Formats: sequence, C-alpha cells, structure tokens
Amino acid sequence: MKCYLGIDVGSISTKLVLIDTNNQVLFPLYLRTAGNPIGAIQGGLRELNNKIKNHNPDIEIAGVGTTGSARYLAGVITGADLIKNEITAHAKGVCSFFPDARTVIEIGGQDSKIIILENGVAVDFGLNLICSAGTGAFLDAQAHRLGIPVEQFGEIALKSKAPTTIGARCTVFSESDMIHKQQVGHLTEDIVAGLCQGLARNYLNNVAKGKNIQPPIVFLGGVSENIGMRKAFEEALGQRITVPPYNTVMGALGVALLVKENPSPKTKFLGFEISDKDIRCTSFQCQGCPNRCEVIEARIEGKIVARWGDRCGKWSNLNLEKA
Amino acid sequence: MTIGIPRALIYWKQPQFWETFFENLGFKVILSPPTNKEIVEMGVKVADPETCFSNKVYWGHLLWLEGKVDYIFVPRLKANQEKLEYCPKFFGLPDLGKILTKTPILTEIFDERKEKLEKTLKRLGGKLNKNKEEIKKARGLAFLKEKELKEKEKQEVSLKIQSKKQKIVLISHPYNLYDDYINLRVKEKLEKLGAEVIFIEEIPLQNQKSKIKNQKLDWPKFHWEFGKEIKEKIEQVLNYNITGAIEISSFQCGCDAVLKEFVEKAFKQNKIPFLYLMIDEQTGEAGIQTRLEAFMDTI
Repeated sequence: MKCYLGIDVGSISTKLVLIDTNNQVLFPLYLRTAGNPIGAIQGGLRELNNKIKNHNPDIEIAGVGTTGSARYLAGVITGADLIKNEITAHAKGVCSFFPDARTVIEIGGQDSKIIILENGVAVDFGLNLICSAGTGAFLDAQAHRLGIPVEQFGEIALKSKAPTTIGARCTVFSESDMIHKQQVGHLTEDIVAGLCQGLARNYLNNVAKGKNIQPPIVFLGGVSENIGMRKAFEEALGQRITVPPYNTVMGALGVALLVKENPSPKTKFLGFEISDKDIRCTSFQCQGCPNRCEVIEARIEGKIVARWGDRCGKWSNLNLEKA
Repeated sequence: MTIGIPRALIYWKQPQFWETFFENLGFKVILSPPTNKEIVEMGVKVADPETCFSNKVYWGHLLWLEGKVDYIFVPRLKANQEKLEYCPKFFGLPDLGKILTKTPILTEIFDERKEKLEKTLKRLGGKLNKNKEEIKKARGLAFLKEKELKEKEKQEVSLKIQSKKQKIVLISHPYNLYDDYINLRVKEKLEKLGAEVIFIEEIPLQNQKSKIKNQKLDWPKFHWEFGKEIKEKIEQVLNYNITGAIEISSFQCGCDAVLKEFVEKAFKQNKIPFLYLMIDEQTGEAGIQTRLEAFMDTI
C-alpha cells in the first residue's frame, strides 16, 4: 500500500503523520524535539516503523515531505521529496479537512501564526515579528514556575471565577507581573486564567493585528490542547473556536498531502534505516570574509550530505562528491 | 587628502553623487565596504539601544573608516528640495559622529528651506579650500552622474514592469533596499522563488504630461520627505499590475510606525497581498525565508 509521510520539526515538538492515498491518517505521532531535532526525527521514524511492522507491514513510503523551522535539516537527513514552509503546510491540512474554515489560529512552541483562508486558499497570514512572547514556550515556563503540569493548565484556568489581569506583552515582564499577583494573594487558578487571557490578547493585538478574522475559526498547535486558551480566545473574539482532530499535527498532515499531490516518480526517501545511522551536524566559522558565517555540515555515517548557513553559497554549492 | 564616506543610511539617498563630487574636487574618496557582520557588530556596540537598526549600521561604517582617512563626510541633512524634512535621526549624525570617532568629521547643513543645494555645496567646497569654478565643475559632474544612474534605473525598471513573472514591489527606505546584508538578501530570495522584484525607489515619478491617471491615495500631508515620495510612487506602482507588495522596516524606526499603516491600507484596498517584515541585528534568515515562501504561496 502506498503511503505518504509528512514530518514537521518545530522548536519544541516534532510531528510525523502517515497518510494513505485516500488521505486517511494512519499514524499521527507527536514527540518532543527536546533540543535535538535529529534525535527526534530518528526516534519518530523508529516509532513509526515499529507501528508499521506491527499493524500494516505492506506499507510502502511513496513520498516524504518536511515542514517546520527545521524543515531543511529534516529534508536533508530523511531524503525528502518536498520541503515546504509551515504556513502553506498548515493551510493545506486545514483546507483538506475543513474546507469551510476561514481563519486559522496556530500557536506552537516558539512561534504563533494566523492564516486567513478564502475558498480553501490562504490569502493572508501573519507570524509573530521580532518577539515570541505569547507562544507555547511561555506557557511551558509559567506552568513550571507554578508547579503545574502544562497539560493541566487549561482545566485549572476553567475553575477561575475572577481571572486576574496579567500583561502578556513581554514574557519577562509578564512573569514579574505574575509573581506580584501571587505575592498579593491571588488564587492560582485566577492567575492561570489571567495568563490565558493575556496571551490571547497579546496574540490578537500583535500576530492577528489588522487581519480579517471571520468564522469558522480553527485553533491548532500544541497550545490548542489547552482548553483555557480556547476559552480565552472565544471570549476575546465572541466566536466559537473549533479545535479539530489532528490539531497538533496539522502541519505534518498538510505537507504529507502536498507531497501526495505532487509525487515524484521515485521517492528520495532514505528509508527507516536512517533512524539507526550515525547522523551528525557540525559547524565551523568560515574565515573567508568579515561575515564569518557559521556553516553547518550534516554527515550521515561520516559522509557529508549537505552544507548550509553560508551567505555567499561557496560551501552550500560545493560539490559534495569531492568532499 | 582622503575623504571617507560611510556606505550606509544617507549614502543611499544619493549613491555616487558624493564620491563623484569629492573626486572631481581632487580628493581621494574611500567608501566603507558593503555592510558585513563585523561592521554591524561595531555599530551595535556603540549605538544607543533605542536607535533604529539602520542608524546602528551607519555607526559601524563610520567606525570602519576611522583612522583610514583624513575626514569622514557626514552631512547634516535637514530638508530636501521640496522643503520636506528628513528623518530627525539624520539631523544629529555629525554631532554623534564627532563623539564616536577621532577622525575629523566634514559636515555641512543641507536645508533647502533656507538655502539652495548649490550654495551649500559652495560652502562645503570652500571649507576644503576649493574655488568657485572648481566647485561648480565638480557639482555639475556629480549631478550628471546622478542623472545617468537614474536614467539607467528607469530603463531597467521598464523592463521589469513588462515581465511575465510575479511582480513583487519592495517598499522601504533606500538604505534597507540596497543593502542586501541588512535585508538578508530579500531580493535574491524572492528571485529564487520566481518573482520579479521591483524596488519602490526605482519607480520613476510620473511626469505631469502623462495620460495615465494615477489613483490618488487619501493620505495626510506627511512631515517627512520619504512619506510624500513613497505615496507618489505607490500611486504609480498601482498601475503596474503587481502581484504583491512587501514592506521592510528597520526595528524601532519611528517614522515607519506611522507610514506602515498607510502603506498597508493602500495595497489592501487594491486587493494586493501585503507582507510586513521587520529587520534588526538579530533577525535570522530562517524566519525571513519562511515568510517569503509562504507569501509567494499565497499569491
């Protein structure tokens, strides 16, 4: 059976989705990147391979697509047929499963985005600019501070009857604001609910500023698992927010769909064996000019497979056979 | 005697004009090299953290010239031919320059509300002990060079307008558009994605006799020179059947904070996809690449 694999490697989590030719999701996987994207990709592939062996041993990978902030790295080490940015990938995933959706709110580990759809096509988008306040990483850090597992954050927020106001304009200042609220005696649930509201406000005032937000609205990304955040958005927008299935793996799903629609005659996929190979990236500073670019070298079993990071292209264009 | 010119910020307002002027007065001119990491780092180190990224880059160029030349030329640009003011940050450049470098600063106040450019140039030349005739000749050659450059640009842009590719217009100040280190080679990246890139700066202003009626944008009268210029050029660009517009702003540019709202509205009203990018010394290539790829996919 022919299947297509989508891999989304983000700053906090790595997602893998396998679909068949009827766009059915066979296996969605969600793993923590844990600061080691290569390890996460290898781990994800290993887990996926085990599932395939146990459930559908006749699966043949006919194409691989990668997305997310580590899409190039993921593409190089897996032998991807398609490398696509995460906006297009998310838009594709949403449009295939929810063709009526008009607005996509996606909050991931270190970025947050809004996508405006018209007739199943992305027509406008926004990403957080210079600052990444108001993303999943922020909630993670605050949950840790409060001694609450981030998974329970949402439920605790829902208990609040009087959310306290917390400025979420900047992660650092928001933390001092929160400490102050604790010191004057606010309940944890009111602080947690306040954080959700602050985050939603920050998102709407920055990432979504000036965007034409129309229902139906779907909410994606790791943060969409947080029911407190969903409620905060519903209150702020006065609209119902849908958290669809595959909400945390939509980018991987989208890129799998894209690779299925644009298949190569023969996939470049390097096979599940790569999860057991020695894959390493090293970097060096090029001394060729004052730019001192940090060049990354990816090696599989000691053999250089790609180089990137140089502005002038003298390393990335180098003939790798000779290296 | 050698005169150094920082290849940044105000330099890009009149590229080649100043080196032509000084060379024809008989001086050796040294331009700082195209922006690189070392220059940015030098600038960021000395600049006030509240200043915009483009200013920080300027200080890096100024420091690169330190000790390599007899004078560093830092004009005080106050108002242009149309009597509109330049960015207030430009006013203070020679003063801050004097604090930052031991190399003497050569300056003159360019305020065309009070004095014609020719007269200011005469005073500037006088400071360098050049006589009226010498200055007049150098000035003429500098204007000629500027005219040639504009003419060449005009021809190039007319070809771009006829291109069958997706035409993307980049809106920013010349010092962000022409410095491809600080804009992270946005033009090259867009071209690789299949776009024909047109800088707003390259757009020739419509001459009065033209039969094409430009759409008039309902903007207030801007205090700053670039506000009027960008407005008129956008009015012109709306005739070119462009597929998208991207505005680039340096972090903490106060003037852009105002201007951006109008630029965005102008394109959105005309149903032209618009993307806003902000650049600073921390901007990573990956973030810009993602936005450009997604933008090209949406149009």
